[in-house]
Amino acid sequence: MTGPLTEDEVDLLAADGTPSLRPSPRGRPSRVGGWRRRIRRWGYGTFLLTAAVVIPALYWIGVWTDGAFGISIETVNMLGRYLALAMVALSLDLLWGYTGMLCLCQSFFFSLGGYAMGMYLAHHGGEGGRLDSQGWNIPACLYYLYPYKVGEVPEDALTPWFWKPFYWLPSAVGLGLLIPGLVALVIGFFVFRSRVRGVFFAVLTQAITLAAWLVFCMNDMKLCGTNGLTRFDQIGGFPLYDDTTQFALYLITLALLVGIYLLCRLIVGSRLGRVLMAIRDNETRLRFAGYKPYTFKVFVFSLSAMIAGLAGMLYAPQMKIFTPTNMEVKESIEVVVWVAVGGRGTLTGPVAGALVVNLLKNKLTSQQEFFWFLEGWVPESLYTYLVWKQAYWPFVLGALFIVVVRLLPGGLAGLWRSVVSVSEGSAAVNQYGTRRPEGDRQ
Amino acid sequence: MNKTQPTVTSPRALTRENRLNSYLIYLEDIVVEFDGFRALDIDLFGLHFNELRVVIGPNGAGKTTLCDVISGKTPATRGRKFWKGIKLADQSDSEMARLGIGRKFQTPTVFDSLTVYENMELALPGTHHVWQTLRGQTNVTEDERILEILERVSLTGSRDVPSRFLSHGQRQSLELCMLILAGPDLLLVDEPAAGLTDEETDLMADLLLELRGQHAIIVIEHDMEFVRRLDSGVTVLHEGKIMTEGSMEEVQQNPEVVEAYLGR
Repeated sequence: MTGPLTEDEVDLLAADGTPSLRPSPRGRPSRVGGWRRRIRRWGYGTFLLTAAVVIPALYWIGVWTDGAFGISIETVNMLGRYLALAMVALSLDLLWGYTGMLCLCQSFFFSLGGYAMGMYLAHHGGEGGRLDSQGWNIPACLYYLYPYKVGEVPEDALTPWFWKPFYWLPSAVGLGLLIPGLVALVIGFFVFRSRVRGVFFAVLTQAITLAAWLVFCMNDMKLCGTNGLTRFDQIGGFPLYDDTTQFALYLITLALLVGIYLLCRLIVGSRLGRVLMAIRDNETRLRFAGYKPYTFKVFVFSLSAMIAGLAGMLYAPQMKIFTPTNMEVKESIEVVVWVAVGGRGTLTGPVAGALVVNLLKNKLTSQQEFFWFLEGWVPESLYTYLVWKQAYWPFVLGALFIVVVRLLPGGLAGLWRSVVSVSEGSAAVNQYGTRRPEGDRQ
Repeated sequence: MNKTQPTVTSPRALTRENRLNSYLIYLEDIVVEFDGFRALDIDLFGLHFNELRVVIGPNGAGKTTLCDVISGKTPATRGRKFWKGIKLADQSDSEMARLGIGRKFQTPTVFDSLTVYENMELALPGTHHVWQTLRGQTNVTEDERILEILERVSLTGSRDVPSRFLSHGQRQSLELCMLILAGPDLLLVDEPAAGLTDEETDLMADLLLELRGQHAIIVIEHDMEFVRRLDSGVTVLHEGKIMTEGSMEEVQQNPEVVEAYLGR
C-alpha cells in the first residue's frame, strides 16, 4: 500500500478476505457497485447481529418469561458449541482452501486442545477432596478408572505427572495452544521437508488421527480411556452447570471466533496469504522464485493446529464431557464436509458451512415426524417408514457432499456470490471471487 | 545483419584460475546419471558474466538436464560447480534461486489464482521468509519497477487480471517478467518460443536481446530461426556431451553436428 486507502478500497479489503480483490497500490480502485457492497455488508451484519444481539436477547426473554417465549440455555449452549466447530472449519480452510493441503487431522488437534481443557476441568470436578498419597487431588474420572497394578492399593494410586500442569487454568490454556502447535510443527517439519503432498498427505494425516485415537483410548495412558474426561463442575471458580456461565462461554466463543476470523483475514490478505495460494497453484515455481515452501507450510499447519486446539478448549466446557470420540477419523471428515459445503478458499464459507451442517445434523439425528399430517391417513405400517430416524443422517451427509462437489464447487459462499452478482447484473465473478477485467480498465 | 561474429572462447583456452575468475557459472566434470543412464557428461562448460548462450541439440541430448543441474533441481552424480568462482555444494533449488539463478520452465508456470500484479509481487527479491511476507508491502520503488517491466511486454492493462485468464503468450511473458524482476545474474530459459505466434516469437527474441548485457542468459531452443535471430554463441549438446561450441554459422558447418541432427 502506498497511500491512504479510499473508502471504496477499504471496503474491497473487507470483501471476504480474498486478496485478489485487494486493489493494487496506485491502481484505480475497482468499481464495485453500491448495491453489491451493501449486500455484502448486510451478510456480515446479519451474522453478527444474530449471534451477538438477537440470540442473547431471545435468551433473556426466555429467562424473564420463564421459558414461555425465547430460547432456552440449552439452545444457546448448542450454538456456542457450533461456533467452536466453525473455528475448526476456519482452521482447515487455511490448509485446504488456501494452501491446497487436504488435512485429515483437525479432529486430533481439536482434541488435544479439548483434552487440555478437560484435564483442567476434571481436576476441579466430582466430589472433591480425594487426595493421593502425595497430597495431589485425583480427578474423579481418573480415580474410578485407575488401573491398579497387582498389589497396589488405592492409596498408591498417584495422579500421573503429566496431569499436574493442567491443574491451573492459565497453564492449561497455554498448553492447550502449545501442544497442538508443537505436535503440528514436528509432524509438519518432517512431512513437508520430504515433500509429501496431495493425497499422500491426506492419507498420512488420517493415519496419524487414527493412531492418536487408539492411543487415547488406552486405559494405560491414564487419560481415562474410552470413557473420556467427565465430571466437570466448575471453570475458573464459576459453576459450569450454571446458566450464566454457559451464556458467558457462548459470548467468549463468539468473540474468539470473530478474533480468529480477523486473524485469518489478516493472513490471507497479506503477501503471506498470496504465497500460500502460490503453493496451492504451483509449488515448484515458488521454489525457483527463491521461497522455501515447506517453511510456509509448517507455519500454516502449526497455526491451524493451534486454532483447532483453541476450538477444542472452548468446546470441552460447553459439552461438559470430552471423550476420544471427538478424535475419531470421521470427525475430521465432517470438518472437510463443512468446509466443502461452505465453500473453500473463502473465509465466510467455512463458518457458514459448519453452522448449517451442524444445525442440520442436530435436527436430523433425532426422530422427526416430517409427514405428521399423513398420520392416520396412511396405513400404520407405511407411516413408520415416513418417520425420520437418526440412522438416515449419514446418507444425508454423503448426499450433501456429493451434491456440493458436483453442482456447487464454490459451496454456499460461491452460491451467495453468484446470487449477489446476478442481482447486481455486472461483471462475472469467478469461483475465487476475483472479477474479470472490465472493458474500461484495459 | 550482424556486426561482429559472436564467438565462444573454449574453456580450454584459459588456465583453470582464469576460468574460476572470469566465469559466472563454471561446470567441471559434471556427470548426471539416472538409474545407470548417463544423461549428462560435461567435462568443461563455462559462461561469462552477461553472456547470452543458446544450447541446442537433438531430443534427449541433455539440454534440460543441464538446466536442472545448474538450477539445483537435479543434483549432479559427481563433478564440481562453481558460481562466481566459488564452489557450490548441493544447494537446493530455492537456495540457488536466492543466489541469483532464475529459471523459466518449458511450459509457462505462473500462479493461476493470483493477478498479474500479485504474481510480480511474489517475484520481488528479498522477502522470502514467513515473517517477511506477513509484513511485506510493496513500496513505491518496487511498484514503479513492476509497472515498468509489465509495460515492456504490454501487460500493464491486465495487471489486475488473474493470470489464469491470460493467453499462452502472455503467460510466457509474465513468467519472464517475474524472472527479470527478481534480478538474477543468470537466467535459464527453456524453450521460450515454444507454442508462440510469430508475432510473440519476435517479441520474445527482442526481449531476450534487450536482456543480454544485464544478465547472463542460457536459452534452450529448437527453433533454428529463433536461434539465428538471437545471434549469439551456441553450444551443441549431443548424447549428454558437448559436441561443439561456436557461432551459429560455425556450428552449422560442422559436419559432426549435421551428422547428429540428420544422421539417424
